[in-house]
Amino acid sequence: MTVILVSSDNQDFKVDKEVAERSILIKNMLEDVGESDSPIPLPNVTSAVLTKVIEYCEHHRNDPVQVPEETDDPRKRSNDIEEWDMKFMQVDQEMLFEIILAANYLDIKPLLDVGCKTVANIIKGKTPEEIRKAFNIVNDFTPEEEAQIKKENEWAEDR
Amino acid sequence: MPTSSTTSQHLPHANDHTQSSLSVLRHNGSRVTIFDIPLILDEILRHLTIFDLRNCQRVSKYWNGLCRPGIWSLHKLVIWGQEQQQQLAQQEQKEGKAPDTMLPTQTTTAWDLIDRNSALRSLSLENTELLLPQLTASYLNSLKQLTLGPVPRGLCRSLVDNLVAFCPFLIDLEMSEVGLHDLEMFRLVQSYVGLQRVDISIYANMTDRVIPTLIQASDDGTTMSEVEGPEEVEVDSVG
Repeated sequence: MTVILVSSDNQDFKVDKEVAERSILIKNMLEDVGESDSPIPLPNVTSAVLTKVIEYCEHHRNDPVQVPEETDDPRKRSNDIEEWDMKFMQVDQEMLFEIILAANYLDIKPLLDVGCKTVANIIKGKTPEEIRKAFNIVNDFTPEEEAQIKKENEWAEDR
Repeated sequence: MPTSSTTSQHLPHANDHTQSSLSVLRHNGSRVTIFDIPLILDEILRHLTIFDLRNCQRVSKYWNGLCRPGIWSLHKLVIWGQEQQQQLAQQEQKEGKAPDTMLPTQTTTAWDLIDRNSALRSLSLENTELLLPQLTASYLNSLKQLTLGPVPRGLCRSLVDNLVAFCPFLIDLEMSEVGLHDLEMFRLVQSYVGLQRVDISIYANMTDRVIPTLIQASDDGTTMSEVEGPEEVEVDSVG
């Protein structure tokens, strides 16, 4: 069985139901609506992003349902991105952010996780100035405020 | 369920970053970035070390606000035994203080908090026996100060192994009722390059040579500057 997803720019995507149901949002919609040929509008996802999201869902169509790893160390987990996922996430930053937002909107937890890990990896090891540059952020601290925060965090300075 | 993106009311300067080219236009005309959505941010920040979080705080006022709540505010957590907890809760209620203590029955919540708070620097486990299994499951690399309650003798060796493995950056260790043997104590002191203070007030299994030797060990390889020894050394316990 296939379903039709409609992107925000009105492009239709014919997808296997099994693939589409990697999205909990779509899965719930299909369960609510029952057997229906009606296309599913996704007004917050452009065709470019939906193409990527479908590519991810196709690749992971047979993955088991994700179980939260309660005792695992999250700081270690950011290094455990699968090779395919890592390559999949090698996109420009705008697309990366769009994928994360789409994963959140469509409720695709594994895709959201891998996106967030990728952003965390961008931040890791960077100075405040480098983070600003990476995300195009303006420093709006006064020198006094910046000094105050630095002072507050002195205990966390590298030894 | 997907997270709502209408969060600006909770976050300071929530619109400041929309100047970024990384915001995305929604169908209703609003612009949104991943930094607008607390659950996404939480998911990103939980992968960062304390040093990265410190740098994030210094990026901008908005980021400073994002990195503070729930991550930096919980620097200190005390988990008491039930009896002390009740006394303390009553006292805190009288004084109108916000509690930073938890019942052992709330340990799941406590350890969830600990696990999610990469910046926790001070932890006090008065009900140690109940909580040791969790201590061994969390890599607490921001933890600088640890206070332990009584630990059964049979768990002491694994305690030392676990402390060295999971709490690598301790500078202050208080374990006044933990009956380590000398070799275990030496291992601890020699494993922690940055250890500055260790409180071993009730050290039933120590020998009379331990404190000079510990100080010698600290002179040789560590920066430990203070050893608080037992008030009454039980010479009978020597080998």
